[in-house]
Amino acid sequence: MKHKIQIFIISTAILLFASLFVTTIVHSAFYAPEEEAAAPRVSLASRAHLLKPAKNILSAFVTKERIVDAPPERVIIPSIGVNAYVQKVGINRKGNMGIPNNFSDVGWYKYGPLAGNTGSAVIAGHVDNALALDGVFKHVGELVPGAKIKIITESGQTARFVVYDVETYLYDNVPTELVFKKDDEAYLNLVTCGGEWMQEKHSYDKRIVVYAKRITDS
Amino acid sequence: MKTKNVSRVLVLATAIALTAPMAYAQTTTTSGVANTVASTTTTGANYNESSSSTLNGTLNSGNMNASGVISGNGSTETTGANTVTPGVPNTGGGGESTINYLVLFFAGVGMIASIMLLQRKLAR
Repeated sequence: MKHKIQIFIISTAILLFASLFVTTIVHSAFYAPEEEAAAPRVSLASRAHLLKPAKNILSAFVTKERIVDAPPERVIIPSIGVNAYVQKVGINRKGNMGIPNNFSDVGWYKYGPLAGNTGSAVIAGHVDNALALDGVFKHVGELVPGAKIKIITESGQTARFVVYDVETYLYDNVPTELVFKKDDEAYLNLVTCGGEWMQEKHSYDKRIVVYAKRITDS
Repeated sequence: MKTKNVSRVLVLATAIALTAPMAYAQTTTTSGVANTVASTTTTGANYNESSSSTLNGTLNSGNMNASGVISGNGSTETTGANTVTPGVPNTGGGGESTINYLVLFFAGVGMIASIMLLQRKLAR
């Protein structure tokens, strides 16, 4: 009887250790869930300027840029070897832009403009995972002005962008209006983490933002 | 014979332990996708509303192809609907790697030690 109990205890221990092992691998290397907050409320006042972008439509026709009619599906950055699926993300409970739920996809801020239309479309990707293995945007900080970015939409359209600036900010000092709200042209801004790890904040201390704007389709 | 049965139970239990967390992750992922779809639907509603708002203005001033203007403008107006400026996301986890590797190490060592111990018990 004692022998059976010992075997049972040891078997249970094996199960627990195996569960811990697999769960840690899954959550560290493959899966990064984040709970999103409700969609932001849209006030009537905010819709008053809905007619404003009409002139941008005209300018888009003049510059032969096609209007994008669907969310992005893939982002391709040849110079750093990125070709990633684009998830749609919103806002998390802390009020920050959401993140993709794994380390190989990127996340497009779905409450912003479609990538390729007037305004600032924002795409974020992980720099690494919880086992310090490379994330999809590990090398985004190496982009330089002139680098090309291509977006392929869910409807098969292609929008091309060129990098014009790369900035590194302190994690709590990012000019979010510039990143999310600039709307005189069609922008695409890539965001990832950089700098040193702050254990108490569970975050890196810097944010890298790559600013790109749309170029005419050729 | 008894030892053989216990071995079979052990193999089965280990298999369940290894696959259960995967199954959990799959389930959670699925729910995440469902959330995304629901949110996308909401965004879609914004596109439609915006499209109808901008159609008149654009047609009056631009005299352009209607279908192109409708879809394009509708998409552009999603920006207008966005009244919230979120903070930038936290997109790294590398700093947690040390503790995660430690957990993996101890879980691995514990698993191997337990299996060896079980083998010795069964061999008696």
